[in-house]
Amino acid sequence: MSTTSHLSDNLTFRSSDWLEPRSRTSTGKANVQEPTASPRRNVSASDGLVVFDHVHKAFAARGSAGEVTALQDISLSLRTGSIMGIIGRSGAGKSTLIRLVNGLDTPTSGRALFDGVDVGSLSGNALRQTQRQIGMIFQHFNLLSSRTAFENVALPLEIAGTDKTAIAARVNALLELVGLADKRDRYPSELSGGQKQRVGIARALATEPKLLLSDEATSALDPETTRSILDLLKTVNRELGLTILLITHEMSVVREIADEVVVLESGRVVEHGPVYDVFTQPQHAVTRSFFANDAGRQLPADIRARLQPGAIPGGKAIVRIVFRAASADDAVLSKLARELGVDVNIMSATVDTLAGKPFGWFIASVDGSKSADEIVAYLARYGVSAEVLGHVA
Amino acid sequence: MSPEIIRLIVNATIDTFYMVALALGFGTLIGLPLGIFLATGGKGELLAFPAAKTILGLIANATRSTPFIILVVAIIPFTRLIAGTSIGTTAAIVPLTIAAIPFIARLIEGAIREVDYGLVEAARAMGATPLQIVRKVLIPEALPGIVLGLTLAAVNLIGFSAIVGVVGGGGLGDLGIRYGYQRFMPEVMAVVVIVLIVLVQGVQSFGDRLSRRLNKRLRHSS
Ligand SMILES: Nc1ncnc2c1ncn2[C@@H]1O[C@H](COP(=O)(O)OP(=O)(O)OP(=O)(O)O)[C@@H](O)[C@H]1O
Ligand SMILES: [Mg+2]
Repeated sequence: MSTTSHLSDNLTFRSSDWLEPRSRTSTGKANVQEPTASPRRNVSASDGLVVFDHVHKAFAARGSAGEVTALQDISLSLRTGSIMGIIGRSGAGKSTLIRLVNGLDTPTSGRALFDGVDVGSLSGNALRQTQRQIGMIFQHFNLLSSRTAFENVALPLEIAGTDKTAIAARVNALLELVGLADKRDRYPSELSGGQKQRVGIARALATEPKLLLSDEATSALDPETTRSILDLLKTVNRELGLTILLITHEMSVVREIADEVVVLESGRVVEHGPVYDVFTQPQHAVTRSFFANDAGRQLPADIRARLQPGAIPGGKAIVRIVFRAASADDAVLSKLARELGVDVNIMSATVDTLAGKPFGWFIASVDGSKSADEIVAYLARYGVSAEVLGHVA
Repeated sequence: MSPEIIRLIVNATIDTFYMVALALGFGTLIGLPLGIFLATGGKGELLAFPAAKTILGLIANATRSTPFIILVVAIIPFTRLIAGTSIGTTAAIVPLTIAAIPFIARLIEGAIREVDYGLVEAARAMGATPLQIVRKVLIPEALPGIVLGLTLAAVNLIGFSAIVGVVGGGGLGDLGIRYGYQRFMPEVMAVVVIVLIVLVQGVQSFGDRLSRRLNKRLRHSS
């Protein structure tokens, strides 16, 4: 039996209950995962739904003999059911990376595996079957202007050869899910950006994919619309058990939605970890630079203007102190003042929760005889991380 | 103006219509797939077949750079082969079609190339075959542009159809030459010109309106 018939059986019989919460995942999986006619199925399922295995990607540079290296030695694994955020500056290689997963591009060396299958080794029908298990949403939505919302969502099903009645049932349910049932006959030009992206999401979900790829899906939207779209993505992740790989250049997006974050810089992974850890203890300068505009992490403007990198005799050190869930014991600050004999003056403080765990940070000026490094080392002994931002007179 | 002359004008108008409609029809039949191929056959493109694309592009350019009147004469043997004769309205359809094909193909190529590449990417990501992309994405999205292109082609064909009058092709051009010029009846010439103007205007505004109707990118349309 071919995969096509599996998929369409799937659609026909379960189009109505497909949008019901979770219950489907086990049966649904069994149905779709059956032997796709795919070569090289040599990575065990426990390796994650998406695996990058020492991926390199170089492009021939236009007009010159050289090459542009877009990705270097990327190895990552994305757990089924999780949300991974990839963040990086423009040109870091984010889009290139994500496009390897659904075969829009192929690695120069290394492998990008989806569900244990090396996507780069697929072509023709086998590739198309795999692509139908992966939905994708885009920054500029990429909706067909000649099709209504309904017809846009129907497109991937038409392409997969689903019959008309099944398409209608599925598309209506999807438009309901994304809250656009009343806009089904509107053309994209008659929809707002947020509504267009909802159509994009419904379209990406049409073939009941296991994975959703999102390339800057909220970058063209205002903050409030961004939040509602991210909420929708969270909902589909939770309710449908959909795994999500999303690209962004905004830390706030990662923070809102992701379980894990990968920081990409010049084609390399410079930091990777659970969102809570990366947020509270960023290791790499690039990661920190993404927090630069995060409210609460900013220095008061007057301090920033006076800040100098080197220590100033008789001056004060400006320190950022981060309390994590495990260390949220602020008595440590009074101990610090007492034991090291320094004055600690809190200038701003933020307390927040991230991924359900509390954390907080203080920006404090510390003066006295001790060097800034000693203070940082002292705090580290109590499991509190601190970073010297500079010095003021 | 005598009823006889009026009857001639009416018949000539019908002949022109007939030539243009058929040349446009046949021209589109071949020009549309050709235009799609020219837009997608290049290296790294959807239907990548660069060698064929280059050759077809060269042929299209060669045909387009041949002055129409020369084309008409040059292909007389071919016209005779197809139409059984080289004079008359039906025979005129052959050179008109030959001239229309590359013209239409280039216009359609342009319209297809206007389609946002992001849409092609989205369709590829859905697992669409190249033919599905052409049918479900490129043609529907390019349709307003294609209609404008075909309108332009129809207008040009009306002009060309008047030229075939010189070599006995029939239609309004033929009438204008024979009566207006050779028999010196300026009023016939004037009427012929007016009918041509009305025809061109009508075709153009019909095409414009249809294209606007089809263009869902404009908010006010529906
Ligand atoms: N088709 C291509 N041909 C040549 N170079 C390319 C191509 N695609 C990407 N690149 C190069 O690869 C690098 C990474 O590009 P990529 O689009 O992945 O960046 P990005 O992180 O998505 O950036 P942005 O945030 O601007 O979208 C860039 O230097 C880019 O110029
Ligand atoms: Mg990008």
